[in-house]
Amino acid sequence: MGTDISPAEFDLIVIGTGLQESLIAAAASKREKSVLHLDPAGYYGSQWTSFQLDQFLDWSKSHGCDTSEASDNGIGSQQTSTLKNTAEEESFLEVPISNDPGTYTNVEVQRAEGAELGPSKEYNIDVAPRVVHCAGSLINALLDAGAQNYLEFKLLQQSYVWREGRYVRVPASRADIFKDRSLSPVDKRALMRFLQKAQQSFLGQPTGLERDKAFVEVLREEGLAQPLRDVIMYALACIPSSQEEPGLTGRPVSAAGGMAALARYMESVGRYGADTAAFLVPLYGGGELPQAFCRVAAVAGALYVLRQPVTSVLLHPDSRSCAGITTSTGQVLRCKALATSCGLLPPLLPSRSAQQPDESPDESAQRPDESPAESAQLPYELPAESAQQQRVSQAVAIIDRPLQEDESQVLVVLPPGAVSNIHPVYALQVGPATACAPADRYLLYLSTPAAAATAAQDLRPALEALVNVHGVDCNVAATSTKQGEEQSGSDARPNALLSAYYNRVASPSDSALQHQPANVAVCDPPDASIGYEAALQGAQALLQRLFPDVQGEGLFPGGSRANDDESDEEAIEALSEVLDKLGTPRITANEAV
Amino acid sequence: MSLRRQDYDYLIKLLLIGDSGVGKSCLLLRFSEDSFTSSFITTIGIDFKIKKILIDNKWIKLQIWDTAGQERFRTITSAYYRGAMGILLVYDVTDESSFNNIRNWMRNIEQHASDNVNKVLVGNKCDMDESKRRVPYSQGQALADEFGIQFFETSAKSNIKVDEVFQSIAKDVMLRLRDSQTDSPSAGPAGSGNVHLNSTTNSAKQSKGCC
Repeated sequence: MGTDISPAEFDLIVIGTGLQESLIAAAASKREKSVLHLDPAGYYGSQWTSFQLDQFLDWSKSHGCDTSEASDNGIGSQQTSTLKNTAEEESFLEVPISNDPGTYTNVEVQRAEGAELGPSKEYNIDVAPRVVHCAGSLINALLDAGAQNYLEFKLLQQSYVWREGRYVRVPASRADIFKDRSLSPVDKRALMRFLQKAQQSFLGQPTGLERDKAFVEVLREEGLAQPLRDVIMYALACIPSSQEEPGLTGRPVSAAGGMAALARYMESVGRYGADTAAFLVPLYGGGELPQAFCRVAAVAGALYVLRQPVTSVLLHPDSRSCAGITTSTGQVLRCKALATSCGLLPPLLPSRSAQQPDESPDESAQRPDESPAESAQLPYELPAESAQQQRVSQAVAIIDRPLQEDESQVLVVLPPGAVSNIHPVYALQVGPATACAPADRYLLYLSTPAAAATAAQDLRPALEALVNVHGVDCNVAATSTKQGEEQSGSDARPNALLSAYYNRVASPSDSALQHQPANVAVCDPPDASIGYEAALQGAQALLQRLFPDVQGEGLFPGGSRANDDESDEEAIEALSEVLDKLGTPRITANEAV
Repeated sequence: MSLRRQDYDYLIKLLLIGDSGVGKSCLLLRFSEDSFTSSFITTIGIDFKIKKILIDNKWIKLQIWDTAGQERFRTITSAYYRGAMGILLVYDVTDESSFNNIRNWMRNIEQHASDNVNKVLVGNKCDMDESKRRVPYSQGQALADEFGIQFFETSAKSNIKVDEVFQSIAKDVMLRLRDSQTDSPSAGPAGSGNVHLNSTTNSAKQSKGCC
């Protein structure tokens, strides 16, 4: 474009327009910091974006030939620091940065021959699909930021658990629990008892519940059988990874963590109308969410530039704090703080000697061959542990009718082992009612923590359980049309017209923050959960890292929900109400009277 | 759309689109508040404005959105176009490149807005001295004819034809909505059951107390 960006100095420069990046831009801008928000891409949302169908197919093609590992994105391989002299005759260490985070691998797309997909622009396909808790931090942030007019939502109509090859409604009310034929009287009693205990634990009454104990252990001790544990852990508390052997990896979720997640669900139930719905989905897809915060920032004065690659970060030679960036047009832009999407920056601080300022930066940088000073080489090596970044397997299918008649937005949880899956698989369906697909077409998203080598291996069994994928299987593609026409009436599954699989990075590399200067924040990629809680908490922490003066404030102070304590109290109050409704065992009810 | 207090017959969402400095915000402020300031450097702080007007005995509530400066580097969010019913394409009659860019904005609209959105072409700053004019009236009219849309030359500063532009686009939208009331195109989303955060929070709080 050739247009230089002016002014050339900002309080904050943000690279990438993902959710956390946009939250930070909006929060800083609302606090009257000068903000420049850039994106190398031509669209908003980075790893949180929604694509139209053509864009999605282009995107998958551009990642299709890349079968390399996620960490092989150029960072660390040929990084060298050089000295940059600006017009003011200041000298900076210039560190090249990547414009492709290399987040996606194992991308596979299969399309049924002759399938009518409809207009591309009527699709909004989320790259990292998830649902919004009605009473979650995201909703509060939207309200506090004044972004409520930018978005519309629809309620998720129903949650299901996939059990023994069929859909089982997730009981969301006392009546549901009593009606549920899959629950024995013993189960029902155990569930009621547990819920009462949960209620007490939130009211601060002694329950004998050890907060550090594994959540799953608590559930077992309460006499809750596997199917009930599955419902509580995966459908209500939305814990994204397996909590029981053989799938358990790492530390299981604690009782305190599990109870907090349960509380969030309970408080969400019924907040927006229908009395059983806990989740919302935004119209036009999740990509609208970062855009809403970008508009908040823009209205508050932030400057927006897309299609603007950044070639390097400039560091003060002595402190190694960030002083600015250089754009692909060669323009130097100064900043007091920098936030970026994950995967763009190499570690800017020496990995071993972070505290030792380089005593002779000029010398080592000017003659790297002659003086291979340790401090000049160490900083930009890719740390080995980043190879262990958590990955998520994703699938998306375009299907020709909803999973359940008349239900456009549903969530299906396939607990570990339901279809030989190791971790829970979350299947989210959206459709024309949320403007994510054209008429008579629906999107089915599947997500699970990566366990097998590829996303397709992780998710194909789950997808095949829910939909008929014969039409898109490569091997039978030639005969798919005939099969499609003569489909037997007994198969109630919708047909997949297109299916795509991919892996994506779901956690920042271990070094993302500890090897960066204090005025640099590296944002998290969309995490492995199906919600926004971690992203919002992470954004707040990053904002406080960059601007220590906002310590103790929410992302958007002045909003009605800025006070954390207050919302906690509200949450507990609401939880106990819901738990009351859900079912206090008769005995206690009598005692209470 | 769930309208609790129906003090209007139609709610119409309009957008302003066009290059930086052509006077979009000034048009909006002139129309909504009958004020003008020449000191705008670039848009800060204008999100959207509401104004109720009467057309053919129908009350129309206009919700008119400004670009929030995101047009400067052509970075208007796709979200900006959601649900837009009418769009004012604005250029500056003294700035030829702003006129030439109208075609780019038109492509942007085709990509992101719904197909049947109404449009109007607006050449602003027509109060300026003729010696400064770079785009003749006939050229604006020809482009509008090519697109098959209405054309106005306006001045937010001298308050020329500002009301007429908004009246015209609002009426076009109203007539379209009236004619196609049942089929509501592209519009699963515009249908019932949408959750608006602001309106429902209150009702949720109220319902908490009663059950």
